[in-house]
Amino acid sequence: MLTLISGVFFQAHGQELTFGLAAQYGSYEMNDLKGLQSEQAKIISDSLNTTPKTMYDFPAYWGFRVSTSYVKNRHNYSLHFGYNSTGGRVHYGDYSGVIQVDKQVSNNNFALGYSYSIVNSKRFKLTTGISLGIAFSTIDAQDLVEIYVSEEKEQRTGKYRGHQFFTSPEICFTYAPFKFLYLELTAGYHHQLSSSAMHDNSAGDLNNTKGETASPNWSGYRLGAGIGYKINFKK
Amino acid sequence: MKASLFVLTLLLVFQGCEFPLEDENIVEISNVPKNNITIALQDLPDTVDVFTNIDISYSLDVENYPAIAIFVVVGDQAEYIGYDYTGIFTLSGMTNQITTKGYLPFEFVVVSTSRTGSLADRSQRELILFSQTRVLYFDYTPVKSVNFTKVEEKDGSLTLHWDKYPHRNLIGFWLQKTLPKNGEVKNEYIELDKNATSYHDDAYIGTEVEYVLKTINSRFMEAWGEKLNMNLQPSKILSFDAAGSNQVKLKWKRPHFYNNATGYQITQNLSWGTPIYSNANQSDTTYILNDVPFGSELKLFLTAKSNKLSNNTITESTVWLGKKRPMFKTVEYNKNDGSLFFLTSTHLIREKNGVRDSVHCDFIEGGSTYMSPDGQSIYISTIPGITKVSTATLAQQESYGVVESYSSFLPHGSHIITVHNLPFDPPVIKVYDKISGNTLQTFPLTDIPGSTTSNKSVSRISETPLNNYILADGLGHVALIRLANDGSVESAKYVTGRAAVMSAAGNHIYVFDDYRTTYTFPEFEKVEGSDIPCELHPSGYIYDTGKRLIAMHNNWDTIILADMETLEPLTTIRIASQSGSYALKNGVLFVSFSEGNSYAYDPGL
Repeated sequence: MLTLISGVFFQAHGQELTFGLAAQYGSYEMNDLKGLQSEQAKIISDSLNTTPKTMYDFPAYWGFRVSTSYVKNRHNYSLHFGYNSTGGRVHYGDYSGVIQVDKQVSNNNFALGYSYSIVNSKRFKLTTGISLGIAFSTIDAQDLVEIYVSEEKEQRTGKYRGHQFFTSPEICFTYAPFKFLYLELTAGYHHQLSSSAMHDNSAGDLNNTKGETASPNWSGYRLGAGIGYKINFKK
Repeated sequence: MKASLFVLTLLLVFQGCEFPLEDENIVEISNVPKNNITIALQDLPDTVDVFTNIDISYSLDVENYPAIAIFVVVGDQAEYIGYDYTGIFTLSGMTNQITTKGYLPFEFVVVSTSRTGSLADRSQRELILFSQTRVLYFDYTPVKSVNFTKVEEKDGSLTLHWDKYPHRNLIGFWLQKTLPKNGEVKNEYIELDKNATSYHDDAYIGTEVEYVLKTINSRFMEAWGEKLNMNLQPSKILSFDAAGSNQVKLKWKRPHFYNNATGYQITQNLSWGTPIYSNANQSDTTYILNDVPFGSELKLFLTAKSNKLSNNTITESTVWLGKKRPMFKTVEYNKNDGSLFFLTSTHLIREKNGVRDSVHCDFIEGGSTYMSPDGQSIYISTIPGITKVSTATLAQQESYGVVESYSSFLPHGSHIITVHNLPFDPPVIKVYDKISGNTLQTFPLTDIPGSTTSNKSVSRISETPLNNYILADGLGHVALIRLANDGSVESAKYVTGRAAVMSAAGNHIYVFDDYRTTYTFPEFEKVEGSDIPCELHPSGYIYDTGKRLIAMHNNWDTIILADMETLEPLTTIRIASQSGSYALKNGVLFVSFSEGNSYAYDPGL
């Protein structure tokens, strides 16, 4: 794929081809999953009269993004591949056993983007742009109840899959200390446009107690820092 | 190419760095259980005999009312009982693990949550057990009969002995006591202790009784032992004697099992009316019956009283006042030697100083007798005629051919004077020649001035002291008859009265009616002002006994013994309402009844 893209753009004149890798820290709205986790915690509390604790409630976490761009003058045309994950855990444990409700949520996303360089010097660039993409999400759910004294252990797992469309506006500051290398800082917002139901072949769709579908919502800010390699084509 | 591989490697590395779910919420709590349950199995010994379904009661002392589950474990079987803090349950199905006899462990288990608050506790997986253990002993051996081994009579009580039942599965041990009671067979079932080896029967007094032991084992099989029959005859009334006027003193021997009696009851069954009951104490062996009619026989039942079912009639006896001489027709007393002469229909019996002698004698039914004044001879009405018998030798001395019916006779010299007082005929006095038996004179009493044919009745004659007068009395008339020197009736004088006797001094004749009137003798003239009220019955009898008078009271059931001169009662004796003749001889009262029995009683005069 990269070879194909490189081949196309190498024929151009006065242009750049960049390859970048950036770590990305993002927050995630995840309302459905938070609600679902809260319901599950309440069920545990009500049925066992324990006080399970929500250890993780789908917090912001690190991801990454790999990008390649074709730059012509001030116009950048990009292809992004990213990965994000977060999770939720409700947990209670004592000497006699443990209750653990985990949801590991991640996605692999692909996006096509356009950006315009507002500042376009030899070493510095400041660009703003927007991308449109799709995220393929996975929820690894694992419910565990283990009573040591009775040597009972009940574990239930599910792997729910679904996809979401999103758009992501972004500002990027690039510094190129060398001719072929650059550093970048990005800030943007991931806005999820829609989501399919999360489905497991065995368990079916992921629903809350009301029967409504529960799906991840990846909307949230994105902050990134990366490094890239660029190839300049000059006549 | 290298760059592509580098990028792919980075992708895989980052994919492995997914969000870590590492933190845990581990709560520190104590694992010491907070429940404490104390089990109480009521009245359940360490080793429990199980012979059939057994009910076990339990109660739990708990704190804070935890949820519990109760199980019992017998041998290798467990059974859920329930969840109540108190209750009772029955061991039934689990008791079939042993078919004959043997031991099995028993455990009463209470399962409860720990109340530590842990996850296992709240999910009811952390359970704690409280238990109590026992040993169950099963015994299903076949039932065995038990027999008596010893019967003991001690201190007036009865104790039955047997060997202890050899097995422990005895659930019922009974003594059946069977005895006839009031014409029926009565059964009494006495439940015994399982370990009993004896029974003290505090109800048996005597007579027939049957004991048998019945055993029932845990399988409700029953067996009967051998029957023990007892038939100790009861004590009888040993004696009965006159203790006073109309009193009979009874004496009996206390029965074998006197300690089982609470007292005695004497029942007088009369031929009429309701029975009369009297009570004596348990320690008594004598009792005096009062108000016994002289001349009658009482049927008595001496009964030992008991508070329990018992066959307590000791004896049935017939008693009477005085001495009974069966079938004596009449009696004569020889005042010269104190001997008594009794007559049956076939014999003349002499009783002297307690010795009896007899001679054959065909005494005429309804006949009369006469004791000579000197006591040497007794004259008897026999079938051949009047017979004279020596009182000393009982030898027949003479026989006179006077065979006509008469009510009484009087030998007088060579004559026999008879009084004929037959129904439908006027009373007649006849004089017979002793030897020939020929009638020398017939003297109808209707010839007496003032008499009528309708009221002439002579029941008795007696010789006056001068020998030539005869005193005849009867219903409504008293006659003084003067005999001629040849013994024939010379004259007679009649006065109104019912009975008459000669005074002891021999100078007066007392005539009894509603008053006693004194007449001179031999004139037979009334002594003016000599009337003394007298309660003789109009048809009563009065007898000359010398100084004492015996008379029938006009109520017909009392004899009065009174002083002849003053008529002061010496004693009164209640008599049976029977017709008979009375005589007071040598202080002994004799009564002869028409049914053939005679009685003698010393009223202590």
